Amino acid sequence: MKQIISNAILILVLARASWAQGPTQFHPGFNLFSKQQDVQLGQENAAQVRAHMKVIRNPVLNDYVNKVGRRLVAAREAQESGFPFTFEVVADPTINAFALPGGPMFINTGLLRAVDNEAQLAGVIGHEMSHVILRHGTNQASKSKLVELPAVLGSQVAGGSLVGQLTKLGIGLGANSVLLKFSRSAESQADLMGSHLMAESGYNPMEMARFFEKLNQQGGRRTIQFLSDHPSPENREKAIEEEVHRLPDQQYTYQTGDFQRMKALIAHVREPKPPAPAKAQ
Amino acid sequence: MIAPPLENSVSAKSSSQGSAGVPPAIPEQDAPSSRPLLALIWGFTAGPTCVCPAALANIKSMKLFINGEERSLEGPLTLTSLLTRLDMKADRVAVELNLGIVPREQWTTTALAEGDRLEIVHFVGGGNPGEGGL
Repeated sequence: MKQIISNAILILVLARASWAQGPTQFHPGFNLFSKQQDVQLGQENAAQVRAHMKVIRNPVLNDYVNKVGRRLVAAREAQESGFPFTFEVVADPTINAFALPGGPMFINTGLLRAVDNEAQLAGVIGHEMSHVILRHGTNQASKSKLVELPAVLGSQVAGGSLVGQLTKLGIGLGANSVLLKFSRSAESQADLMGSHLMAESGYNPMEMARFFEKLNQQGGRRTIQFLSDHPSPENREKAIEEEVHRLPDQQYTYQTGDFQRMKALIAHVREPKPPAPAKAQ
Repeated sequence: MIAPPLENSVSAKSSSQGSAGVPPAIPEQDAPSSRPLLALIWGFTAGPTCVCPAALANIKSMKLFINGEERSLEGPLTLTSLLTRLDMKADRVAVELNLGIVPREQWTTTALAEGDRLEIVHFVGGGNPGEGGL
């Protein structure tokens, strides 16, 4: 009997230890929106983005970001979210990318130009996808419009514009939009979940941290939207590194093989001045 | 064996009309309007300074693959003239020809050939939908 009890304790201790060493688990926070409403909101907003920003229509660039994106979408946490992710390139020299609720993601030409390797691009895409998976945008909106939102979301008519309704509440897509302005803890979560997506896809998560560090050294926070209001690069790097140790050991060797071609093309694109004010972090 | 007599009869009839002085007004009215038309056709097909086969060879349809789509365009074309033809803003786009980037300064001297594969990075939308529509 003593033997059984000690064995049971040992098993519990081991189980607890392996659980503690596993990747950090995240769950979407409080949210008044349904997942379907996330998707609707994102698609309506994406249509606005396409109307206001210059979208690249070139198969080489579009296929490239889609290859990297779909690789990350195949990872477990992205699959479980069920969100329909899409990836498009916009002509904007700012080093930035942003994802709308429910999955539409826009990657600036400036970001494609700035990354040193594919894993760094995957890092930014994975980070943004994690905001979508964890529903940070609508979580943020839910918290800020706790009182007004239930009536709006409850009375939502099929086929009606959700964006239109939310704009009346001041939840639009402009600069400082609550849908795209995340808290530091949300950013840290997105870093860690992004590193899960990267690792599962065969990209080295440390490249995400290296890219943040590189941006920090290069231009400072004022000129690089992706860094503004984010945790400091040193802290991010440390947190990502710790998370990588919790992940199963593996080689990070995946590459699409199209990175150099993308870089050659993007080096020759001359973007117009950014038409609209800052859209996201 | 039946046709010749018919032709003969027609020409005989018209010549008889002409010689009989029956309204020459119709052929005379026709003549001025048909002359420029003929000249136009002549100009297009051969031209007054006829270098016939060579001139025809220069203006021919050329198959190009632009951003993955097969397009048929009248040649000869340089990269610059292609971008103009496609209504794209040449100062902004990036061009890859048969997997190699062509620097902007070489566009005017880069002639395109049948079967060339081009990737042109251009933008649409952003309140300027007419720009570079492809």
